[in-house]
Amino acid sequence: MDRIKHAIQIRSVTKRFGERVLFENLTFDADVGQLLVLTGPSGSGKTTLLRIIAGLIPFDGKIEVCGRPVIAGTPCPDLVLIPQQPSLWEHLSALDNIALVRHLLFKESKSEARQKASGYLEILDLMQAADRFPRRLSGGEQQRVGLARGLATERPIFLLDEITANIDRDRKEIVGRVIARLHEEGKTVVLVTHDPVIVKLLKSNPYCLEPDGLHARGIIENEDAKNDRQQR
Amino acid sequence: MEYTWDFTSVWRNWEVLLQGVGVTIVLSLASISIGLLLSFPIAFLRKSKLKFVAWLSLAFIEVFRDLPVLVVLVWLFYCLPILLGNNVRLTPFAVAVMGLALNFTALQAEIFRAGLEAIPLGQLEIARTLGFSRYQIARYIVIPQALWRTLAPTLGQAVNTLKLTSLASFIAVDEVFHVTTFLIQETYRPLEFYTILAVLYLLTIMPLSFAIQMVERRLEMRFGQD
Ligand SMILES: Nc1ncnc2c1ncn2[C@@H]1O[C@H](COP(=O)(O)OP(=O)(O)O)[C@@H](O)[C@H]1O
Ligand SMILES: [Mg+2]
Repeated sequence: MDRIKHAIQIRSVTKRFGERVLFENLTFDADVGQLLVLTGPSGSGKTTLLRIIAGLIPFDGKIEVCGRPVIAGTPCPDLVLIPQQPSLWEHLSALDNIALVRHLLFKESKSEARQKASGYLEILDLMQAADRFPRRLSGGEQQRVGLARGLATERPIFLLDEITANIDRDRKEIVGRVIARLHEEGKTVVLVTHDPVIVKLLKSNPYCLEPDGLHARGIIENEDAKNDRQQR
Repeated sequence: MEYTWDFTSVWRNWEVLLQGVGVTIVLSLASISIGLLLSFPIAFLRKSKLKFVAWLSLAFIEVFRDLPVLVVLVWLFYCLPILLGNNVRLTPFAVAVMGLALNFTALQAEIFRAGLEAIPLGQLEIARTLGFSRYQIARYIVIPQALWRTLAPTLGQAVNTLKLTSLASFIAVDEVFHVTTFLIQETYRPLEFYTILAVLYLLTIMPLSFAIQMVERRLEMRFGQD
């Protein structure tokens, strides 16, 4: 049997906004179970790259997620994107934001879904926020609810965009532990961040997405190779 | 000049007045219910990708938002029977419901449209990446949120329609304003009756106003900025 080795396979992907080339001929893989940390200066296209992988915006080139080609406009059932702006559903409490995901994705009853949801809130130290509405949560709390909502999908691939941007020092450790545990469970995680705290917590080598697409590919591949050598 | 207030004829016609209040309330509820049912689809159609459909709903909104309700009422009352032919009989009450509902629908559709547009796109995008169907997104996210966001202006619009029911007296609907006018002709006591009329409107509308303020406070908890 062919086991899929690459969770995400990116081949010669180019993204342009009008005249401007964000990256060109980008090629790299994220293996199943890999924790891939991406950094890069602001505006280098990290968010755009995640949105491309999630099937939200068009691109040139070829991407496969779990062996299936990514087509813009068709969301992939194997991955979950947790964006920089948590975009919680504002008419629902923190708890119900997560319960709705359980209810619709797993066909759980209302009470079952809420029970599961409170479990995810607990993991992220959010029990006191359960009944509050998104507008009544701090930026950091919103981000953690967004992460909890993502965890609730139980999907094999996580794309996390600046997940600790508004989170205070103590809670960063909680988020770090959650990500480490996803990694231990064998999930594939692509973490976009320029937060040194979280990078250190995860003890991972970040790869750099450079504004120059050709460079970016080189660096990612070189770093990849270097990493492989270190592991051997 | 001294005026001697004499409310005896008011008390004597108390039941008739209350019946008028009843008609006013039923007329409001009927117009508002129909208007609510019609305005949501029209708000959606207004954003339709089909140019013609969007244009048609915009035209509807524009016409009935701009026309004075009184003009709509008398037009429907006098012209509609002629257009429909003799075999269709419309009661003044039915005509009043139609006119008020048309006005409510046009104004309310714009309120709903603003509510739909106020939902940040990121919330819908997340739902789409999670694989929610279009129906699920509408049912669980777009519609409830649009309703919540517009609850306060919607209630305001309902109060507005309640006030406008007095115009139905022009086409002889027995709502409280018309009943009062009739009783004044009978009793020659305009000051007493108009005073009681004002009190009756206040008693009907004030509880609604308080309800709106409560709703606004609760909405503030959900959607208000700090
Ligand atoms: N829809 C768009 N149209 C035009 N330019 C865009 C669009 N989305 C992003 N950009 C531009 O692409 C660049 C990269 O954005 P982004 O992916 O958010 O970078 P990062 O997440 O690395 O900070 C930015 O300069 C941004 O202005
Ligand atoms: Mg970004």
